[in-house]
Amino acid sequence: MTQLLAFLLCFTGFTGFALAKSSHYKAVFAVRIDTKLSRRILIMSWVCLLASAVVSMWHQFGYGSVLFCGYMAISVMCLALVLSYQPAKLRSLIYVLPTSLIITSILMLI
Amino acid sequence: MKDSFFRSMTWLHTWTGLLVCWLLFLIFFAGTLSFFRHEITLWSQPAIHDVAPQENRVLSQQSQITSALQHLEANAADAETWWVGLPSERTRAIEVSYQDKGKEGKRGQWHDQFMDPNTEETLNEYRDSKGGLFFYRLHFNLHYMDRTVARWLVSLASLFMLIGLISGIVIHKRIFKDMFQFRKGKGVRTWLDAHNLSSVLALPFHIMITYTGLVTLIFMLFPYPAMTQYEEGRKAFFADLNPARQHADITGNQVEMLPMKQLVDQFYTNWPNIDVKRVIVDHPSDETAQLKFYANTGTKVQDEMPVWIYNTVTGELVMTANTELSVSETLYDGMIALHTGRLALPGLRWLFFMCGIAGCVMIGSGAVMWAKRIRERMKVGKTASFGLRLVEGLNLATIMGLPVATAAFFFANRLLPDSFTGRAEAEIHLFFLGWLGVALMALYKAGTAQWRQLAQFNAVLWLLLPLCNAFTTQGNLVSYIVKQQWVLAGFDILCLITAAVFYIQSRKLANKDAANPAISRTLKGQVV
Amino acid sequence: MFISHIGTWFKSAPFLVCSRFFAAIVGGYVFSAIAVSLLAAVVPLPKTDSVLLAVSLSILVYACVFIWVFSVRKLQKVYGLLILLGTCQAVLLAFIKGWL
Repeated sequence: MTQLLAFLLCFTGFTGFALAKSSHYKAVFAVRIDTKLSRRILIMSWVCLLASAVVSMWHQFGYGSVLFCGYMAISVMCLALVLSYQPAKLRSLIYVLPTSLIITSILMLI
Repeated sequence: MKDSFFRSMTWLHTWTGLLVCWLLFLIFFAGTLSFFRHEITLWSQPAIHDVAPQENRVLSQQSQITSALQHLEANAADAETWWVGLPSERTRAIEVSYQDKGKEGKRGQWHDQFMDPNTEETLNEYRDSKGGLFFYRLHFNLHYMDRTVARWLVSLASLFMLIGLISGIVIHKRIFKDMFQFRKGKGVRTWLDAHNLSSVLALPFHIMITYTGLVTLIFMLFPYPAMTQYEEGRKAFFADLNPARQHADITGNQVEMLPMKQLVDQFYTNWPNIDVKRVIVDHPSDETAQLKFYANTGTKVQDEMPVWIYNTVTGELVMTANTELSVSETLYDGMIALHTGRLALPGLRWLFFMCGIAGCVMIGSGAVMWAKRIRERMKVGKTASFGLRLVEGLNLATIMGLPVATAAFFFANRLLPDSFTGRAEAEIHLFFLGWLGVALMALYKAGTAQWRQLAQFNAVLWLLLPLCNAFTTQGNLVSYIVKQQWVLAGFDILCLITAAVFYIQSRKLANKDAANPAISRTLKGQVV
Repeated sequence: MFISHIGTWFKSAPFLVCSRFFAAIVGGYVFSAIAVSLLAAVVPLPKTDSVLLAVSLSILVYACVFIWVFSVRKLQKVYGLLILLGTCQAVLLAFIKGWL
C-alpha cells in the first residue's frame, strides 16, 4: 500500500508538471492557463514529488530510491502517451487522482 | 564561447553515438533480457516447469542442502568443486552441479542436474541449454571472441554512451521542459521526440546503468590504484579485499571429510534463520577442502553475499565475510548491486526491464534519426552515399535482426532434440545465423519494404513461439494461467505482445507506403 | 613543398578530429589513471577502502576529462594541460610512494 501511495503521489506530481505547461493545459482544457494557476500547480507538483520520494524511501533507502526512479519513468511514459493521443482523458484525472490518493492513505493508516 | 561549446557538444553527441550505437543496442538488448535471466532459464528447462513452489522455502533448506551434498558425495567424489544452488524467489529447483578436475591447465567440465525441492530426488531430464545465461554473457563477453578484447570493446561503447548521455543533456537545453512532448506523424520530428522522451523518462536509469556497468569491469579498466597501493599488484589487493575468495590449490592428499549431515547441522545450530542461496565445496576430500555457505542478500543493495567457510575435516568455522561492509565497500558493492538488479522484486524488475527497453528505443531512434536527417537533406535525384546506405543497413540489421535472432534461439531450444551433441552451442549458432540472415538482407537493401517484411516476419515468429511451446511441452498459456505459473504465462504473453507490436508496425509502414509512395524510406522501429 | 604539404595536413579536419579523439580517449585515460591512483594514495582510509573509493570515482573523472577535451577550442591547450597536470600528479604520486 505504501508503494501504491508513493506511485500515485509521483504520478500526481508529474501530471501537475504537464498541466503547468501552457501547451498541454490548452490541449487538455481547451483554454489558456494564467501564470498564477501555473505557479500554484507547479508548487503542488513539487510537494507531491517530494512526498513521493519520502514515502518510497521511508523503509529502505537504497531499494526505495531505485523504485522511485522507476515510478518517475512510468509516470512520464504514461503521461506522454495520453497527452499525445487522448489529451482530453486527462481531465477525468483531476477527480480520480485526489480520491485515490485519499483512499490509499486511509487504507495505509488502518 | 558558449555557442561553440554547444556546437562541440552537439557534434560529440552525434558522432560518439553513431560510432557505437549498434554495439550499444546489442548490449542494451541482451542486458535488458538478462534482468529476466532466471526466468528465461526456467522457460528453457521444461523438466522443471511443473516443480511446485514451496511454502516453507527457508525452513526446508537444511534438509535440501544435506540431500544435495550427499548426492554429490555419492556421484561425484572425484570432482574439483561441488556447487548447490538453493531455490530462491526466482528459481524453483535445486541446482546440483559439479566440476571435473582441470587437466593440462584447462578448467574442468561442469555437469549440471536439477533436484526436486519437495521430494529431494534428482530429475532425470536436464536440457543442455544456456538459457538466460547466454544473454547475460552476451552483454559483456559478446561471443566468438576473446573475452578480454570483447570486454574492452564493451567498455569503450559504454564510455561513449556515458559521454553521449552527458552531452545529450547539455545540448538539449529544453530537455525537461518538453518532457511530455511526443508529436506523432511528423517525420524526423517524431523520431526526435521519441529519442528525447525515451532518454529523459529513464534518464536516472540510463546514467546509473551505464556508470555501474563500467564499474563492474573497473578492475580491468583501472587497475592502477590497486597496483600502486599494493606492491604485489592486483592479486594482493583482492586477497586483502575478499579473503573468502582465496583458496589454496589442490594438493592431491586425500583426507576423510566429516559426514555432510553433521557439517550442515552444525551451521544450522549456530545460524538457524539464514536464507541460504548457495553452498559450495571446494576440492572435496582433498586436504584443502572447504565448505562455504552463501546467504541470500534479498532486497539489500549489496551484491557480495555474506559467506561462512568451514573446514570439512575438523568442522571448525574458518571465516565469515561480507556480513558488515565499510563505507567504500558499500559504495562500490552497491553500484554493482544496482547494475545486476539481483535485489529487485518482481515490481522493480519490471521497471528495470521497461527502462532497459526505453534505452533500446533511445539508441535505435537516435540511429534511425541520423539516417533520416541525412536523407531529408539530400537533393532529389542524387544517389545515397555509401556511408548513409551502410548506416541504414546496419540500423535495419540490428533493430529488426536481434528480435529475429532471439526468436531463433528460443525456437532452437524447443525444436532441437535433447540427444543432439553440443546442443547448447548449436542454439547459440542458430541465434547468430538468424541475425546473419537478416544482416545480409539489410545490407543488400534497407528500404521501407524491407522494414515492413521484417516486421511481418518478426510478428509471425513471435506469434508462433507460444504455439511451438504448446506443441513441444506439456503446458500452454491456458494451463499456465490455470496452474498460476506466472513466469511461464508471462513469457508467452510477452511473446504475443511482441508479435502484436511488430504487426502494428508493419501495418503502419504499409499505410505510409500507400499514402506517400514518393517517400521510399519511412521507418518505424519499435522494439520489444 | 613537402613540408608545407605536411603542414596543411596537420590542419586538416580529419587529422584534428582524430587527434582530439586520441586526446580524449588515450590522454583522458592516462590522466584519469594517474589521478585516481593519486586519490587512492592520499585519502586517509584503510588501503582496500581507498582503492575501492578511487576506482568507483574513476569513471566520473574520465567522463569529465573526456567532455572537457571536446569543449576546449584550442587543441594545443588540451594537450598542454593534460600533459602538464598529468606529470605534476605523477610526480606527486611518485613522491608520496617514495619511488624517487
